[in-house]
Amino acid sequence: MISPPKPRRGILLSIIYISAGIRQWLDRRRFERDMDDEMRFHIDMEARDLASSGLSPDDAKARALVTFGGQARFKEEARVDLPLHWLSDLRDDLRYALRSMRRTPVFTTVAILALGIGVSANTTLFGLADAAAFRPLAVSRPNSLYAVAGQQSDGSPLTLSYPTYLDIRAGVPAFADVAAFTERMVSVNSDGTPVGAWAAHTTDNYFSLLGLRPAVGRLTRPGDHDTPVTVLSHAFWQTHFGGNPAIVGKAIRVNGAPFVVIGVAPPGFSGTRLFTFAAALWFPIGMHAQTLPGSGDLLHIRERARFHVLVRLADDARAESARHQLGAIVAQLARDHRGANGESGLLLLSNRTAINPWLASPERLRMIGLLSLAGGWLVLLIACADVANLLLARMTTRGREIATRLALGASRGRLVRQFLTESVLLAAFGGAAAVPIAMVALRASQGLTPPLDFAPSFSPAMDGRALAVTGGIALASALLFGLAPLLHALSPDLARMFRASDHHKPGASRSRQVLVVVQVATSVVVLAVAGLFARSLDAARRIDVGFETGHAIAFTVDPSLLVGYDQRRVDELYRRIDASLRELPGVQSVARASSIPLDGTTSTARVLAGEALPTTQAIVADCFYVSPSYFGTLGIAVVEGRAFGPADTAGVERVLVNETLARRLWPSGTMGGGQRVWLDSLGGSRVEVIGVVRSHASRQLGDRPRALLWRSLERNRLSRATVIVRATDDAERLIPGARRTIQALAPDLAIVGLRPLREHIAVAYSAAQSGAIGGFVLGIVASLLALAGIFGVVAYTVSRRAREMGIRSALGARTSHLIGLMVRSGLRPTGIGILAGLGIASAMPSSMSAILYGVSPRDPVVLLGASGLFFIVSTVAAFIPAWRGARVDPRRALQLD
Amino acid sequence: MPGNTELLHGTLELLILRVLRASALHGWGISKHIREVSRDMLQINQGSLYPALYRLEREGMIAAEWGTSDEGRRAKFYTITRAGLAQLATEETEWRRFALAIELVLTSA
Repeated sequence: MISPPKPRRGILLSIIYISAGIRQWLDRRRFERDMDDEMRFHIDMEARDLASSGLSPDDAKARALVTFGGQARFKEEARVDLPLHWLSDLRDDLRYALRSMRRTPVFTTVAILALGIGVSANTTLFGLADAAAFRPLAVSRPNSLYAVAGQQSDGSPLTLSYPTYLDIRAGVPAFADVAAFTERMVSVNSDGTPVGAWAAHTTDNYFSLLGLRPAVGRLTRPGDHDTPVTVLSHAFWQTHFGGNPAIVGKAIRVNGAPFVVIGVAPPGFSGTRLFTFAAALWFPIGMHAQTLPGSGDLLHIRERARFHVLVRLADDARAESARHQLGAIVAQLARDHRGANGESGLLLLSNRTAINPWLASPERLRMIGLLSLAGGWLVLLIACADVANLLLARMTTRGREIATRLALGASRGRLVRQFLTESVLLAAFGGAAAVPIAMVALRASQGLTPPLDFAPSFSPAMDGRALAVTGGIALASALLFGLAPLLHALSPDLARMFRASDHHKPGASRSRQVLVVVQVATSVVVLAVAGLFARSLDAARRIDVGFETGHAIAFTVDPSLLVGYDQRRVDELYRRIDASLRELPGVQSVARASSIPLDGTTSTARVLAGEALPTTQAIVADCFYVSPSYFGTLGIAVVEGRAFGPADTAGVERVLVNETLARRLWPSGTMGGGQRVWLDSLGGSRVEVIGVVRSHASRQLGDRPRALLWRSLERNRLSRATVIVRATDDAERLIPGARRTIQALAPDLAIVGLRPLREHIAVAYSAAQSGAIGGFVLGIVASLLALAGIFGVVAYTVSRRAREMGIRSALGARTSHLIGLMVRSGLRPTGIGILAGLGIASAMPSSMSAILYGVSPRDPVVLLGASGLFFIVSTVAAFIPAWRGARVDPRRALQLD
Repeated sequence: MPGNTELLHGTLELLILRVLRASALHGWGISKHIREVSRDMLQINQGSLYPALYRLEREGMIAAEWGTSDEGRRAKFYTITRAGLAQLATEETEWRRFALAIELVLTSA
């Protein structure tokens, strides 16, 4: 086949071509000047030639220019051939974009702010979700990090015993290393005031398995099994030792015994588990007699399963083979120890992120995560619509400029690139503005966590990942909001559109109205969700938790942490604490319990009815150990039988049950009053039910009442207890007195979480509260952005129709009539948007009720309230520019244009 | 004006090389020469000559030097290089073959 020949080029020629190109690009200024000179020379010569053939000099010059053609186009064509030409193009585009941004400061500021808000909402939500679930642990090679847990018959995970840990360590070749740890509070005294601190007690290979390097000093290493040393967390080192490196090598008192600080863990490392407290110190497990006093022999008894097991998969091993080898251990355990631990299997779970198998209700978390992400996207969508709106409005005013550039020979592709550059630049500024906003929001979001005894291990931060996501979202938003003006730039009758006078551009104004519809609809949805959360919080606050939460304070102590405190001294100390607190002015009663309902902690017991063990199905009940005065102090009614008395510390153990448990134990209706039931723990024991208590919330608000069981704190002699003090009126005034009382009785005893009872159970409200606050903030932001859009549309209409208004006004139309005319232009898209938003909001998935209390996801009050509210404020937003427009002097309006 | 003929893509370069084989010329000279020898049958926008000139220069087919025109003005003169001569030879041959092929098709039909 024969085709018109094309120039062929060898490698050598290519090199010449490229090097010449680079040279030309490098001295492109001279290149430009030469081009000018050469073309001018050509035109002059042509004109001279034409003049010599009889034309007048002027005509000749004009004719020469015409036959030459568009100089700008030829220059552009010559430049396009230059290699690296896009670079100088980009520079020109950027310079041009910056100049046009400077020329319209209001537009630029509003657009950047809107984008900053929209993007930062996403950055913030990503930061939270990332810290909760996605961010890999700050350890070396997190991908090969796993956790091993026991498996209960119902599939839920269990901690393991130390002997089982040793079995796993010896029996699974697929693991390069295996470490174990358990967590509990210690009392740390470095300057005379004891503080309670959350500590991890680890095997000596813990840090080497994780591959961590110390910030200061060294970390515990193999061989440190039972040396009295400790490693501080970076945060604890900062807050309690001022970040002073001199602390390394010094001794601090832990539970009254000296421990040498050998180093500080790297910043950002606070353990390997989410939804626990952040570890402040690490101790060798061999020192548990001092660091975990009263724990007895932790290392040799198979029934004492308190350890989390962390494993590093060998480089050449697969998780599947590790599971297989674990199976062999399970079989051996069942053979040799008959499942002394109670586990029916061993689970191998990825520990790449801090999300761990001990998580409650993953559906709930997923729902919250999805909602947050959707909220973020909606806000971004609204912000993008705002910016697109502004860009479209600017396009119409830029029409002449664009038409001029087209006439001068700029190609369409060049214009598109210019628009893209402007959008991306705008997005870059928006993204930059988002960073500080997100940082503030992330810090504020940490304030949303309820007061806890220790810092939680959850630490959202503006890190590299969040920054990368911010950049990505900003870029994506540029494509989103840059699309509308781009489509206009690409429309075939672009030139005609821009050349025509600006008066009627149905295309542009229709897309602006569509954008407002989208904005309004999204805002109504976000507002409705915010409203749902607000109603839910209100409902949660009004739920009768079943006990008195006002006028009381609570704190936790553990006298057994003190060196030399045996059971007898612990009992004695509690007696004196009770007595001294009762003597404080304003104190009504004092009680103790293993924990307070709704404070986020629970322990369970298995209960069986009947004469023999186990004749019936065991019932799992939440279990509390309480002192005799507990029911009276919390105002919990004993509806049948009696509460604990002084005589209940000896003889057959006596317990109380709530109505729910009683109904399940004795469905026939014969309740309580001296009946005996089996308590199934370590072989089972028979206990006597002495009373039935009114049911109340124990774990979460709005739960169906759970089965609850109360055992005697004094009989079971738990050393760690939460002390509850009920006041006659303002309980907060009791706090300093209570602290002084404890310190006088036991100077080394750390007091944890001394605050009003209401704040302790705030944990239970926190989901509803965070949702309400987060939803509210998102709702406000979304509405403001949408209102800006409505304002913009009406202001635009007003400016476009100024002349028409002037004429109408000159002809005698009343101002109110004119205002109405213009407000309507803004309200039509608003009305459609509200209806669309209502439609979407009323299709809210009913699965959302998982995170709402006492309110339906399609609550009519919320839906109508949100849309009504939005209608009112949008009328105002439309009214302001209309009112300003209608007041313009008709003479001035007619002179416009 | 007698019959207008649009230039086929890429032929402008061929014409430029052909003109420059005879003598060094500036841009306007080349343009005028092409118009004269083609008896104004090839109607091109005079300016479109320049992008082609710069391309050829970058490819090393022609070389440029600033000098003084007959009228005493500063002008850029183009000369053909050895690479340009070689290119011209191959392209000329191919063009003739192409033209012949078209001719054959047209006369046989």
